[in-house]
Amino acid sequence: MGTLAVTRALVSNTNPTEAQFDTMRTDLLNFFNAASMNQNNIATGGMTYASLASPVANNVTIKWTSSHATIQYVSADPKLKIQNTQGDIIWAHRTGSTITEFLSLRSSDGAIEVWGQMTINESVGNQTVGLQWLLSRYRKPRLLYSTDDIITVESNGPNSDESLIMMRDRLCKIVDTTCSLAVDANGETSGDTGAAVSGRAAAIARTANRWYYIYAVRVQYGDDNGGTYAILVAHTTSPETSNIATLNTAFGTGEWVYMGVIRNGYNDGVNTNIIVPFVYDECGYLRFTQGTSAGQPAGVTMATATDTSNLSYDLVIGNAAAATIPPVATRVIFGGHRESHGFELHYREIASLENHFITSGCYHVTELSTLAPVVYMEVPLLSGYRVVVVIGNVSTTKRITVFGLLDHYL
Amino acid sequence: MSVTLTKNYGDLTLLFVSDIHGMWTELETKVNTTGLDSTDVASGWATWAMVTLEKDTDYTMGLTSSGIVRFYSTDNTFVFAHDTNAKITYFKINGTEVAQVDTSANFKVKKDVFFYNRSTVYGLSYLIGYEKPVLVYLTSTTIQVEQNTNTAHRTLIVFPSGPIAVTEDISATHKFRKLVTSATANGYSTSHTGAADSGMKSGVTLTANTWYFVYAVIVRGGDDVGNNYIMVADSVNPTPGNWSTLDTSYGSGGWVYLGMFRYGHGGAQTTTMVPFIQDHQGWLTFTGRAASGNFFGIRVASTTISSTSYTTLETFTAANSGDAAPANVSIIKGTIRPVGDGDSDFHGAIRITDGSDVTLWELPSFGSNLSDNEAHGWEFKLPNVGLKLKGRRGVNASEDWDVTAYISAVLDEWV
Repeated sequence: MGTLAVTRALVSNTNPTEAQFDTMRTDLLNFFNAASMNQNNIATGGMTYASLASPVANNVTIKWTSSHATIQYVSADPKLKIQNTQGDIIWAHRTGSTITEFLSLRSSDGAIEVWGQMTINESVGNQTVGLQWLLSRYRKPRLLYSTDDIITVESNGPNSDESLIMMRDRLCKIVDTTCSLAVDANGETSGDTGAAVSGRAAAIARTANRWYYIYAVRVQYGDDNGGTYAILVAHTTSPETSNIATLNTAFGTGEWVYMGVIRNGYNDGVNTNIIVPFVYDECGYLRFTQGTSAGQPAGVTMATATDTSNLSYDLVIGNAAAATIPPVATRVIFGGHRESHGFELHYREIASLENHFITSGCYHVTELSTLAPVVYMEVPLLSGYRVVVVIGNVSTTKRITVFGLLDHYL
Repeated sequence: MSVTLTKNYGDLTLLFVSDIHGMWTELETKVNTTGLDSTDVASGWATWAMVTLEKDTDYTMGLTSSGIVRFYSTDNTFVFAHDTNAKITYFKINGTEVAQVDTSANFKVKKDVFFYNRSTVYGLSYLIGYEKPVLVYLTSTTIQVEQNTNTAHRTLIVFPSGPIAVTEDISATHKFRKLVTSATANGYSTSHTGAADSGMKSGVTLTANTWYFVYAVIVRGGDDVGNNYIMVADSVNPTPGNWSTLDTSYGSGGWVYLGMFRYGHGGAQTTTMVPFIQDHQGWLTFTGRAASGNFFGIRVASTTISSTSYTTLETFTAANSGDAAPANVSIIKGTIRPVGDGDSDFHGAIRITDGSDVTLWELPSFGSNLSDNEAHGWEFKLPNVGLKLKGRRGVNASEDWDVTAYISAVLDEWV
C-alpha cells in the first residue's frame, strides 16, 4: 500500500505561508501522480469491474495473487491465453463449496480431461454417435452378399438399418447401402447431380470374371453432398499402396475407405457374370459359399479338366484375366477336387517343381465310385507358384478353385 | 468522485491549524486505512494492469446463475464455473462457436481434435480409422514398415503419447522406416548422440533360430530427437510381463510393438531371416523354406518313425528361440510332411494331444502316395499352449516313415 503522508509544518496561531501550502499540495500530487498509490489503497471488495478501464488493453495480464493464474490477450500472435503455472485449469459447475469438474486442462502434462461425453466434428460428418461410442463399438461394416447383381453392407450403428463408416476426417452414413454392379454410382464424380447411388465407379464397366474392389466414398456432388453421406463404389483398382494416387484421383484425396473385394463370375463357362456368394468375417477372411457343381469345391474356378493328366493352375496375381487372384490377399484357400478317386493337392514352386505344401484327399479303394474328395489348403499368395491336383493316370474330372482368401487391406 | 472532507471553517471564522490537520487526517485515513472504493472514483478510472486479483476470491460475472472465476490456492486450480445452476460454456473464435461444455459435462467440438505435442497433421478422426502398419520383408537382412497414409513414403504410428508420422524414401536411406540387421539402432536412448538409425538394440545380436521383436521407438536422443521414430529389433517379446523392461529401454509410452521376424529356419539355414508376409490381422506367414525338400517356414521336427507306437515329434512350448514360437503367439499354423524312402507302401498316422497325452485330433493311416516319392501332407492349427504333435508308422507298412513338421504361420496376438 502506498502511504499518503502530508507534511504539516503549520504552527498554531500563525498564518500558513504559501510555501507551507505548496509543500502539502506537492505531497498530495506526488501520492496520486507518482505511482505511490496502488491497489492496496482500494477497499477490498469495494471496487466494481466498471471502475476498471474497459476493455482490457492488449498484452495486459489479468493476474491473481502470486501470479499463478493469468489471463492475457497477446496481440502479437494474436491469442487469448489463459494460464495457470501451478495447477489445473477447470471449467466446472459449483454448488456452494462443491466444485464439479466438467472439463479440465491437466497441469502435469497438458492433457484435456473430459468428464462427460466428447463429441468431435460437430460441424462436419454424421453425428449419430459420439467419440466414446466410436472408440468402443465402431468397426468397419462387413460387405454382405445379396443377389447376383447386388451386395449390401451390414448395419453397424446403434440404430437399425444404419451403416456408418469412419472416413479419414469424419463419420459418414452410407446413404445407399445397396450396391449393384448393374448400375453406375452417382455422387462421387464431379458433375454428378441428383440423389446419391451406390454402384460401379465412373467409366468402370461390368466385365465377366473379374474382381471388384468396393470402396466407401464420401458423396461430394449432387443432392446428398452435405458432407455426412457416403456410397459404396465398385472399382477394378485394388487398394494397394501403389494405387493410392489412382484412387485419390478417382474419388478425391482421402475421401475413400476400402471395404472389401467381391467376385463377378465363377469362371466356369456358365455363370460368368454374376456375383459369387460370399461371407466376409471380422478377421478379414473372405469365403465363397457356393460352387459351380454339387460335390465340388466352393469358390471361383481357376482350372478344370477331364482327362488323365494332373491339373495345374499357375498363380496369376492381378485382375486382368479370369483366372486371377486379387493382390489384396496374403493367404489363399484353394479348393481341390477329383471325381471318384483319391488325389493330392500340391502347392509347388514352378522353378524347382518342388512342393512346399501338400494336402490329400482321402479315398478308399473299394469305394471309388461313390467318394468324390474335396480338400482345401491355405497357402501364402506368391507368384511363381502352381497348384496341382495330382491324380495318377485314370481319366476323371478335376477342379481347382479359390475358396477364400485373407484380405490384408481390411 | 465522492471523497468528502469535513469542513470546519468559513469566511467569518478563524482558520485553525487543527482544521487543516483534520482534513489531511481524514484524507490519509481514507486512502491509507479504509481504502477508496468504486464510489470514490470515476468509471474506468483504473486499468487492469495495476490490479492483482485476490486468490480464493470469487470474481463473478452476471447476477443470476452467475459465472465465476476463482483461483483456489489450496490445490492451485484456476476455475471457471457456473455457480449454483449449471449453464453451457461456449468457446468462440471470431464470433463462431468452436466448442462448448454443456450442462452434462459433455465437451462438444465443432471440428477435429489434434495432438499438438505430436503430429499435427492427423487428427482424432483419422486415428479412429487408423491401422497400425505391418512389417514388410525386403531381404534376408532388411525389413521396412509399410506406408499407411496417402502421402508417399510416410508411415503413421500412434504411440501412447500421440501420433507420429515419419516420411522417408527408403530406396535411398535407412533411418526411420527401414531396419537393417547389421546396424545398431541409435536414438532410442536419451544418451544417444548423432543421427538416428533403425537396427538391432544395443547388445542384442543375431543368434541362430531365434525370434526378434520389432518396436517403433520414439527418438529420444541425438540429432533427430523429437517427433521421429525408429525401428528397433529386440530380444524381448511384447507380452505384458515385459512392459516394464521395454519402458526402461525406450521410455514409458515411447514404444509400440510392430511385429517380429525369425532368424533361422531350423534344420538347414539357421542364420538367415525367414521371408514372411505380415498381415493386419496378426498372421505372420512364412514364404520361404530352408532348402530343397522342405516346406515353408521353420522346421520344428524331423524324425524317422519306425515304431508303430506314437512318437512325440514336437511339443509346442512358448519360447523365444528353438523349435517353438514365442509367448505372444496364440495360434501356430503348421504342416506335416511324411515321406517314404522310395517304395509306395508307406503309411502311418498323425495325432495331436494335449500336454497329458490325451488325444485331441488324429488323422489315420493313408494309402500309397500318388506322385513320385512325394508324400502326403496335412495342415494343423494349434493353440500355443503346450500341445504335442505325434506320429507312428502303420502296422502293415513295409518301411519307416520320415516325418518333418513345420511352423508355416503364427498368429501374433500382440500385433
